Amino acid sequence: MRLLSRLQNLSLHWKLNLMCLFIVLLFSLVLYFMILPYLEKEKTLERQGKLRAVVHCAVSLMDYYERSLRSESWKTDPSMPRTIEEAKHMVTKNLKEIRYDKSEHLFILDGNGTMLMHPVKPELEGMIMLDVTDPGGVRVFKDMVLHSQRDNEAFVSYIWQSKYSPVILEPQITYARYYWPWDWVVCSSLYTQDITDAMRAISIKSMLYALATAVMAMTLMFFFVYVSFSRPLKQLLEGIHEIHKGNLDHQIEVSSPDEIGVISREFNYMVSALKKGRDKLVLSQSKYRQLTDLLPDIIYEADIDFHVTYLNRSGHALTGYSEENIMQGLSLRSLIDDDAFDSMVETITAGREENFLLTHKVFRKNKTHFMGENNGAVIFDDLHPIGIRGSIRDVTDKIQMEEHLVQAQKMETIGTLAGGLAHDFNNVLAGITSTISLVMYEMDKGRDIQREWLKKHLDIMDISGQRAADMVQQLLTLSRKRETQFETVHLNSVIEDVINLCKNTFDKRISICTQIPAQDAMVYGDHTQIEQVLLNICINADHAMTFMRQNRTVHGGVLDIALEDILADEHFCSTHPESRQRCYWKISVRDTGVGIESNTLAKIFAPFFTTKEKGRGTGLGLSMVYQIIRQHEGFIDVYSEVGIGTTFNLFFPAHHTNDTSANQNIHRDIPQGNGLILVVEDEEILRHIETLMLEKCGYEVITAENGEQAVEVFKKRHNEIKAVFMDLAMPKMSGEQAFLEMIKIVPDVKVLLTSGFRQDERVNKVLTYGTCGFIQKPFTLETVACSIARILNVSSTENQGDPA
Amino acid sequence: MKKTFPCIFLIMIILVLVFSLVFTRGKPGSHISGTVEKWAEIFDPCVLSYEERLLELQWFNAAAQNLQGITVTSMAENIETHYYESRVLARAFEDITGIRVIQTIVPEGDLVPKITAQIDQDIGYFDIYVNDADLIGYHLRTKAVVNLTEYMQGEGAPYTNPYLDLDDFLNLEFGQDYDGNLLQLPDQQFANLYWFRHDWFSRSDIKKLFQEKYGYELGVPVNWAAYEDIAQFFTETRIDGKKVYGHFDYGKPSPSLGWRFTDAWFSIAGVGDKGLPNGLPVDEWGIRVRNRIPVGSSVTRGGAANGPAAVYALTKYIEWMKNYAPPEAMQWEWHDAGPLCARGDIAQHIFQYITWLSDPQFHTPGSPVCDKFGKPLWRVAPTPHGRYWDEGMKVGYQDAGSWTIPINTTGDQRAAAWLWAQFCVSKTVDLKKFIVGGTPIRKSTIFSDHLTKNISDYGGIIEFYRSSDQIKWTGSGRNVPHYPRMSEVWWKNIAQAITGDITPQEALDMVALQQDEIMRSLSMAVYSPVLDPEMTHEDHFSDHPTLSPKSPRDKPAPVTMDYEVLLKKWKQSISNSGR
Repeated sequence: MRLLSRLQNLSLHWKLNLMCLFIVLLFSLVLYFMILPYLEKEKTLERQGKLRAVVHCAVSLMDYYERSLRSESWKTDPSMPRTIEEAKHMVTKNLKEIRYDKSEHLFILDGNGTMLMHPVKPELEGMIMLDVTDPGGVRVFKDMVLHSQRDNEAFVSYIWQSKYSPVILEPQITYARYYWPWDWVVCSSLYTQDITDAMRAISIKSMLYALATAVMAMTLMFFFVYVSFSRPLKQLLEGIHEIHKGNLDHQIEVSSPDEIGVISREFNYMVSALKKGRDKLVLSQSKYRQLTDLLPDIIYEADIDFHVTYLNRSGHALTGYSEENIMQGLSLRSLIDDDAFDSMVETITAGREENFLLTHKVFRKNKTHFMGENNGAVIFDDLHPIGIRGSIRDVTDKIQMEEHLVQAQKMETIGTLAGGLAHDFNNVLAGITSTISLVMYEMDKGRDIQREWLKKHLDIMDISGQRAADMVQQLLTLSRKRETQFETVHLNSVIEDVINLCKNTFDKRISICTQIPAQDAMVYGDHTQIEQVLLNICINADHAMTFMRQNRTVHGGVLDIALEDILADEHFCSTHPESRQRCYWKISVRDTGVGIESNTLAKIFAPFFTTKEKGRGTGLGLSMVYQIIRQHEGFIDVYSEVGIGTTFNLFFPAHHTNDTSANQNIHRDIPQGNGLILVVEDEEILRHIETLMLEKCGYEVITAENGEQAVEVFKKRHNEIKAVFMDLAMPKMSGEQAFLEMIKIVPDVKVLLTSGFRQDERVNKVLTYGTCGFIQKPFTLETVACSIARILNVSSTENQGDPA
Repeated sequence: MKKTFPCIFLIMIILVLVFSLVFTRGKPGSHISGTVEKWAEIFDPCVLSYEERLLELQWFNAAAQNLQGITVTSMAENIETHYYESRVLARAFEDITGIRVIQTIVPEGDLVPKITAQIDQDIGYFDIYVNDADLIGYHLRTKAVVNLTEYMQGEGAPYTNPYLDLDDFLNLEFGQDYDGNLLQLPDQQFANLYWFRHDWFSRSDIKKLFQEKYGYELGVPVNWAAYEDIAQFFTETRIDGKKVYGHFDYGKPSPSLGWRFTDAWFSIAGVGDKGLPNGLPVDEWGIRVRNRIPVGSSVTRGGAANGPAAVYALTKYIEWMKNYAPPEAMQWEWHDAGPLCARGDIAQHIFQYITWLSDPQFHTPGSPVCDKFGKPLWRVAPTPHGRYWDEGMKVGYQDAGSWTIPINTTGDQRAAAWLWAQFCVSKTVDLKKFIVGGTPIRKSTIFSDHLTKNISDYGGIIEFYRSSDQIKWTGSGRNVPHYPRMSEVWWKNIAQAITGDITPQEALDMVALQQDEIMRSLSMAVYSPVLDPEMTHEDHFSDHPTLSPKSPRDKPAPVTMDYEVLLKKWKQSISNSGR
């Protein structure tokens, strides 16, 4: 194998020369082992044939006399023998005189091995020769006699003394023919040494000729191979190297009209064609590079390992990365956020052929970022993905604009809801104030107030207060402006919240029906956005069933909200191009409103498109709905008939998680604690309630009415105070200022902040000052207990107790 | 120098020793040790293994222990097989048994009178003869030869070879009397078969010419009509520019001219009745036999020797001889004509004694009837039938030259002669003897591996003997009461017909008459002829229609057969007598 490998590594020149050498060697072997032995055999056969012919002549003479005897020829020809003895005598006499090849002769034995005639050694005549052997032990005459009697003829090989000298031994061969009518064995011999000598001479000559031929053939072959193959191939190879280096102007010299000449000529043609093609390509590349450089978006390409291989001028400008950074192996991971990168990895791994659209952060070299809309596609080489390319547009401003628009739209929604809400809110307040007046009246009259009576009226107030708090919480949740936060969202609860809001705010002639399955419908998304989407659709339904009716007097209808899971199979995907084969949750919102005309239906998701009266809608609602659902990798479809109603189907990818905390009702005991808590609250009622709640949790409580008073108290008793429960918005000194003062006294002071506002930037800012937490008003006993325990690091499992 | 001398001395000693060994001469008069072993080695190829040959030869050696020194005189006809016996087997027999054999070789024409004289005159000329089984009718009626069946079971039992295996003989019945007693032991056998130039018959140009001229395919003639057309065609057509002959025969007035008719010609023409080995009640000699007693050969005595079939046969013989045979054939007798087909200008021979096909001229490269390797360009096939031949009759002639011991050879002489006869037909020597003489007697020889290997050397003879058809070729049979005297009448009368002195009918009338006269004169020990009274057609055949000779028949349509088809047929019908 090693030798074979070495041979394969040899140049063509040496391979051809080796082949020539091999052929010469093979010919020599064939000559030596096949042709020369064949010639020797033929020579021997020729000699044997000659021997046989001579002996047959003698036998034919015997047969002639035998036939004459049988036909009694002597009767007509007196010269013919009368008896067999006469015939034998006549034959013997004739054969004795016969010589061929100067000195070769015949001799005759009988069937018993007795020498009957030997012209050269007549002294042998009459002797039985059967026991005579040669130096090799061959019983020469016995073999002649017995073998010829058995087979009619025989060749016997043996060693015998040379005819030139009795001391020289030479190989000899004898042909013996048995003539059975006379029981004679007629023989003649020849020496084969001359054949051996001749063959040896031929062998030496042949090998010399073969060697000379081989040398000449090798020389000629070497020259021929060099001129016809090696040199032109070397030129061809140099040409290929030049092409490889990029020198397409190189031309190979065509020195002969043979195949290599043709290849060289064709190679030159090919290089010319390549040069033209390359020039066009360079021009084209230059054109497209210029075009891409003119674009304000980032144009990028990355290989299969996500190393950036190309960035246009805007790419360099927007990211700050130079060409040198790309050469050093800039990874796409450095440019985009993790989620987007994971999505791109998944896209390229799955080998998807369709374009992808992602909105993600794009990081600059200086670690700052902007929001980019990435429209890309996987690059394929035949069937296999080899990289990715696309364009990234800076959409930071656009997103901010969209956020502003969304907020405006939400405000619009709140405004829309406010009328109905005010009415309900008055009812709630009426319930509270009426009950208080009733209690006050009884107390003013000095009547004894029964415990049960009082409990009943307090419950009425509690329920009314709780309802009012829920109403305010819903509006605040809707109106707050915050970063999009994706998490596991429990659609069942989202739908319940929206339905509750709708029930409070919609025209009471609208009947709201729901079909929500018992199972948990989990999606991955932004809770607020999904709620916003659903509420928007519901509000549109409300409008369609109320003021958008031509007959304004006939308001109302049915709003049907259903939730179900859908397995998008191949057929489903074929009818819903935006879907993929996976599980979806479908929220269907059906109304019995005015419906949408078919030509209008195609435009409803366009920004600023509205069919409502001026002042009733901004035209941003459905546009926002469409964007939000797209961000959630979902899609929406609409079915509507004028006069019958409209159904919106919202599809969200189902999210499977083991985390069921989102929908679990937490039923646990209130964490208990101890120590002194400073309560800072300007509202007396609230201060009182907060004191009571904390005491229920096992703490001692001291109070302050504002920030200044609180700082004073804290200075005096900071060693005792374990935590501070403080309102943010207070007169004289705000909670924020008081917190900063307290930090000066105790740097790691534990503060639980509270406010009627939601947790916004102001709150977040204060939260960065130190160990603290925040709860929004109104709050429950559980919220307060858990929050104060969390900042005090009180284990809930260790300190559980009954708030009573 | 001191070391050189011993070295030279040592070399010289070695050389002397070597030369003394090399040129050791045999001493006059020394004997070959292991004679039996020597001959067992020489008799190869053989159907027996070397060990089996040793066993058989050792039995001969042992059986002859009490007979050493005896000289057996034997007589046989002058064919190659008997020369081989007299020159080789006699020497081997003497080496092994110590019994000397003098086998005199004479023409068959001289042999028959000798044995006849010995029997008739009770003179002991020879101890044993190789006499054709054609004489079985004579021997069984004279009771003058040894009944070998009885001899083997009685006096000759100690001298009967346990490896003789009589069932292995091809046509043992030729030498048996009516009761199945073996009177003659087969020694050499040859059939008469149609012989033709297969190379010419296969040439497309010649076949085309024949087809154009006669309207049917050139092939092996099945009947005489086709044979006659082919004879005419080749005689009139020059092959490769040379004159050739379409027929071959001999016509010199001699005893062998009679054999031409009694052996074969009448039987293939259709003389006689159906039946094997010979027609019954009338055989191919035209002799009618009733209860083993010949009753006449003339048509007037219910015979057929001068009937229409016989006249037709003789007429065609003369006609073809004159028209299609070489002119010199008229001067040939049996012995002259034997090997002459090999001269190269003969296209076909209506029946060839196959013993002549062992002649080197039929097997030597350079012969006009052989290819460059010595393979035959000729083939043999069944003899074509004459128009009077019917299915169920014998197809052709074959006879076995058989060992026959006159009863006046007795005692140890008879035992020694019997040992000699058995030695010549033993399995040890038979295959070698067949290779020399081409006269098979044993099935084991015919079916031997050696002949299977060399079957192409024999031009169809081996295929013939391996087929079941070979039993349809038979000898003259038991009905001829005195072969020597009766055969004499044939050639003399036929010779006159050939010269045109008399007509064929007249010649055959004379043959029939003279045969009847001979039979009338015979007084034999058993089954002596008793002639029926001579009657005319009118007063005889009207009352006895079964005695009527065959009526004259018209020339049938010529029929030929493809030789390869014939070979296939032979190969398919492997002889039921085969191994």
